[in-house]
Amino acid sequence: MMTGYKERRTAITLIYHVFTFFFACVMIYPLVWMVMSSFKNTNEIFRTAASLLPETFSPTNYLVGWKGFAGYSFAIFFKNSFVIAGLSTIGAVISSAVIGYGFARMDFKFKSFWFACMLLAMMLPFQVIMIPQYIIFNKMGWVGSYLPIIVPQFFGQGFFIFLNVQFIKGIPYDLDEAARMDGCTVYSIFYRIILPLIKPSLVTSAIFSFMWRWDDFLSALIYLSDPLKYPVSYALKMFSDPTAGSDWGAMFAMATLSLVPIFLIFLTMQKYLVEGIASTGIKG
Amino acid sequence: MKKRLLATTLAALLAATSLAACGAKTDKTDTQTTGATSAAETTKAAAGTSASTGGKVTLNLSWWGNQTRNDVTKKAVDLYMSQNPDVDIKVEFTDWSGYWDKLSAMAAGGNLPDIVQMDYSYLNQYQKSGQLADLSEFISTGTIDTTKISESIIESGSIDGKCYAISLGSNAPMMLYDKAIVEKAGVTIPDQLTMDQLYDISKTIYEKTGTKALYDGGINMMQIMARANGSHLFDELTTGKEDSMKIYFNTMEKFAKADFSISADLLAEKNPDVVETKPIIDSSTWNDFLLSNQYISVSKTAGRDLGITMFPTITDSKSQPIYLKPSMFFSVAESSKNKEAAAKFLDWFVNSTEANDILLAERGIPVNSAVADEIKPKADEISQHVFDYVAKVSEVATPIDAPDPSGKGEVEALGKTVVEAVRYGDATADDAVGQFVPEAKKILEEAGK
Amino acid sequence: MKNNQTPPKRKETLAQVLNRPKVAGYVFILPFIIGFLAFLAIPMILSLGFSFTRYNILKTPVFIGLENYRTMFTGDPKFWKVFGVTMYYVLFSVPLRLIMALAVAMLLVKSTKLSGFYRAVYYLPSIIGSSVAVAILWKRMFASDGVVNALMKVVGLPGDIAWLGRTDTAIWTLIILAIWQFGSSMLIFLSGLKQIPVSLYEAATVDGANGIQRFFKITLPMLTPTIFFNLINQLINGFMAFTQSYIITQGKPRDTTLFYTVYMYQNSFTYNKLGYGCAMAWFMVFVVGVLTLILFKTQKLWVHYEAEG
Repeated sequence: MMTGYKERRTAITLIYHVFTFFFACVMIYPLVWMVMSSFKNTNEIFRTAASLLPETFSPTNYLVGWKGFAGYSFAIFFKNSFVIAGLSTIGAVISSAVIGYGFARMDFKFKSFWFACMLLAMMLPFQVIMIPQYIIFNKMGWVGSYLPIIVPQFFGQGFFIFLNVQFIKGIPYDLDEAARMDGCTVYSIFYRIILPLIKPSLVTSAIFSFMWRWDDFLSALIYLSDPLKYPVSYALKMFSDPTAGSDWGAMFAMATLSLVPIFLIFLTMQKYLVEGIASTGIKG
Repeated sequence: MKKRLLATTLAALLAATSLAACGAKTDKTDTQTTGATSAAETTKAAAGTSASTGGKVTLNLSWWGNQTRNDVTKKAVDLYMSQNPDVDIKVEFTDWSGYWDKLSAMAAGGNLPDIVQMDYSYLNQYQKSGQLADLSEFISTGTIDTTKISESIIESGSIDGKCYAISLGSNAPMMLYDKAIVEKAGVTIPDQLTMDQLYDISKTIYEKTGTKALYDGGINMMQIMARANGSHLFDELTTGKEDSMKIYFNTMEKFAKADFSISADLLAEKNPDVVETKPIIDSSTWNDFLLSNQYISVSKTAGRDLGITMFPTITDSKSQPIYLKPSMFFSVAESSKNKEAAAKFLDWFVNSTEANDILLAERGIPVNSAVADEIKPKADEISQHVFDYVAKVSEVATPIDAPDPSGKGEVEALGKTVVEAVRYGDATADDAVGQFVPEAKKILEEAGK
Repeated sequence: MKNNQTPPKRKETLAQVLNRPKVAGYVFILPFIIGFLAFLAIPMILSLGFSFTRYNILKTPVFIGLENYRTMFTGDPKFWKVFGVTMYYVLFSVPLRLIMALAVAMLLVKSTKLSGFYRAVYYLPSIIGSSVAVAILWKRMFASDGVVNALMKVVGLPGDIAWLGRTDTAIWTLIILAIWQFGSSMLIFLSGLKQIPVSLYEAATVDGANGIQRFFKITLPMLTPTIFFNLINQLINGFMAFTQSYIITQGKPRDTTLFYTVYMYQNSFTYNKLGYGCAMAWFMVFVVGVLTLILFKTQKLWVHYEAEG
């Protein structure tokens, strides 16, 4: 309801900011608690739930956490996560844009079939195809490397394909027609017209892809063996051992650190989100 | 017709992906992508005399654990490699739940690591499917020296008379209590309570201090009850006998109804399955039940010295239910091409003082009695309590139940569900027995197929 | 694929052939087809096959026909229980999350100096995903001595509720978590909102439409493809929700928070009944598939695509 273009009175602006700010504080509280907990001792986390500030600010958790496990420090894990999430994101964003265009603008035989396959792949829980997939990748000799984790990303991800399809369908056909009149092929239409217009959906895909790959530990768990190759998400799991005892303080410290890259990616990317058709000035 | 077509297609697909032939015995898959292949081939040719060929033996070693265990194990492995330059050990560690997912994927792919850390509850099912190597021959040839290891420890890793797993340490179930609260209530806790005594003491403590009591509902307690009743849990369940479970659920109900017991919803919130959220930590209860290797974490998190007593037994018990439990094992994969080298490493890991100097009983009290005696003075004060307790238990302990049968996990989950029903007052003890025993029997029958 | 075409009446150059939508479509989706056939198709068919077997991963599967499905529907009361729990979760978390996401997106689409900051803050809860950290975090928030109860006390409500231990409240802690992490839907709404041509609003303003009218006449209809996408996606996500239940509540208390996927996972790996797990998975695919299909069929009624005029 705030989307009008009339000049607003100061009062409304004030109410808007007070409300948005207050609500933001509520939203953010649990996160602040988590950051604060990363400075607490493990027993303090569990004995004092409601208090926010630690009794004393201690960087111990960060120091203990960073040294990692068995001589493999978090510097290694962070580097690995950047490689996995970075390459996967590049692959997923590009391939999903291309595939999305095909589904959105082209008419071809068995289109619904392939689209249904894509949705099916989104609906089937990974846990049940994990074992057969492992066997296939094992046969290919890929187990133990990043290949099973990164390569499939280069063949499109259902979520992003679908997102692009929805965005491309929102773009008026007139633009394609005009370009076709000018002698553009479907390929150059994609590259010159569609791609610039779906920037918000590409940015959204990039943010999500990076975040999901960054957070994903299951494929790392299954496919990686050498601790030198472990990503952060997987390493974080190793602070906890229900059978012997966990260092939750160190876990909170490293979990907090692991949020930093995703947050930075979001901060740098989010300004492109608002560059929709609205600001590029093309009219429907 | 359709059915046959389906079966054929499936069979073809299975064959295509070699799933049908995934068993360890027919395994021909090469060891992953690493350079391990050549090393493995060399040793296959040399068969145990690899040192003389000058080729390096590569062993994959896999375990679950936390930061401490990862650190000390890697340190010990490094020491071994420096003493045995012809052996290259690749380590791999993960968290508890992920570990078993990964291990099953690896088993399905026919490439289990050479040495795997094994748990008592998984031993049976891995052995039954032919994944684990028989270590008996290495024990008889002396490659793995067991002279200082008690016979019962070796037996705990044996199935049908053959040893498939070497225990790395011993644990014992224990009951913890808050010394200050117990003192305030003016009661004394003996070495071992009976359930009736526990009931009375809990009542007194609640009246005097207002602190509630915990009555454990886990599968450990079921096993203890059955043992005290002169039998074994899974023996009873497979035959559908209700005797011990009647005692168990009646006691359960008695405690659940008592106003001195921690309420069901608070207990569910605390979740005693996780060491750090056990209700004793924030004094929600004055007692708690656990395994001895968790004691150090619990007292650290609680930030105070906690008293230890044995797991309670029943009044007029037919036998002492307390037992020593192997905390975890190392097993060698049947698919391993370097069993001899793996066995040598196991021998060193279990029997050498220098290895255990590094490991410091992190996996439980060392099974080699000489090593345990040497390590003890080096352990800190809290660990000393554990040493003392395990020593005390070993004097009275009776042999542990046979390795858990397949289906144990599901029976345990069923048990939790039924116990919760009793705790929340949705079922009586009779209902619980009537539901639990036949369903558990069915699960075990299914799992045995 | 070229062979599928009707024979060309006159000779076309390769470039011309490739420019025909029927061919170009396949060229564009080729990566998907390759990836699907290489990495997904066989595992999917196998998992469907496993659903007709008794398979414990370590041993060779044994064909048992429809036995797993029969057990599921008639012999396993827990199956229906977890199905109900999951339905309840989806029914509440999906619409509430979407409404929240849309409301906040509308709030943040306005460009002010603080927009970037606000967007970041509202998105932050979603970046912590569902790690172990969020499990501890959430449990401490809703603990008996946690901040939620402390706040309740401040406003004079009973402040000693064991949210995670009561059979009627535990599932709501997970629903609230889902609502709290509305960030991804919000971002998609935001970019959807930004795609609406300014000219439409300008025209409406000239016609004298007020804010509310503009929302219902322009924003909402123009946003329907995005709403549709978010709905489908959140529906699938809702059914696939796993980690929340698995690491925060472990299904406690009394299985009131045991999600379908968690039970499926327990069957597949903890209980070593991968065959049964696969049967459960495919039944879920069937249910979600039918719901998705219904939504796709209703698209014509309410989703407005600019491209279709």
